[in-house]
Amino acid sequence: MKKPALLIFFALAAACGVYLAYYTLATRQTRALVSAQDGEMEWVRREFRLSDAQFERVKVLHDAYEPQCMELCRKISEANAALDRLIRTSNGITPEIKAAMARCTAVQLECHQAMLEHIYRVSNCMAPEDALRYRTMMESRILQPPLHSSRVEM
Amino acid sequence: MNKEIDQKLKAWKVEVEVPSRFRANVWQRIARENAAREQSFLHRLAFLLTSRLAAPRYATAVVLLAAFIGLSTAHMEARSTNSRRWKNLEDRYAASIDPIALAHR
Repeated sequence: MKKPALLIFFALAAACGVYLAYYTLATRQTRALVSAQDGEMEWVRREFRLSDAQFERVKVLHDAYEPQCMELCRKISEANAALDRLIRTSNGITPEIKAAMARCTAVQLECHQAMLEHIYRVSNCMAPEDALRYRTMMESRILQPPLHSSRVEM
Repeated sequence: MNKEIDQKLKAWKVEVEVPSRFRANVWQRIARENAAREQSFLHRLAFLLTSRLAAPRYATAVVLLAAFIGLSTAHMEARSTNSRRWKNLEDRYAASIDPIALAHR
């Protein structure tokens, strides 16, 4: 009875050892990317096969767009908060609520235009087929998001 | 009353006639059940493990097979994990250029 028990032990040890070694090695790159601060930029580089020069241009554009994006984010938050306040304190649609709703729509339009502009600028740094793929992917995700948008893990 | 019953119970003798082939039938039945047990899957597996697979070449094959199963499972799991993480990075990039997503975070 000793031999079969040893055989089962070695078989299980071999299966577990190979599993752990292969899984750790095969997922090492994506694990590093996910935990990296700028993992998403590295994703752009690899997904759209950017050369070093192309990646540098994309990174400069991304860094330049960031303050504009934060400013637009602030405007959206303010417009939404103003609309929320008015909705809570009113019993019906008032001219102020209509104005606040118009303001929210206007800010969202401004955001979409800024994003599209950024998407065009970034795609112009890429090879034509990758540029088209990038525009299609971003347009479908941002400007026409799916009904069940996926949750972003940071 | 109880004494009477006690005496009757003490005097009572059961006489059972054992069939002539009773012993032989019992042994035959035991032999049949043993044979059936030997044919069962678990018994055959135990026999295989103790006799055949314990031989070095079979044992090596079993260990290699287990390693191969581990490798295949790891390959499939790693592919799924990498694909999930790649999608997560895509989501992060899209969110990083989307002020509306940033405002709702």
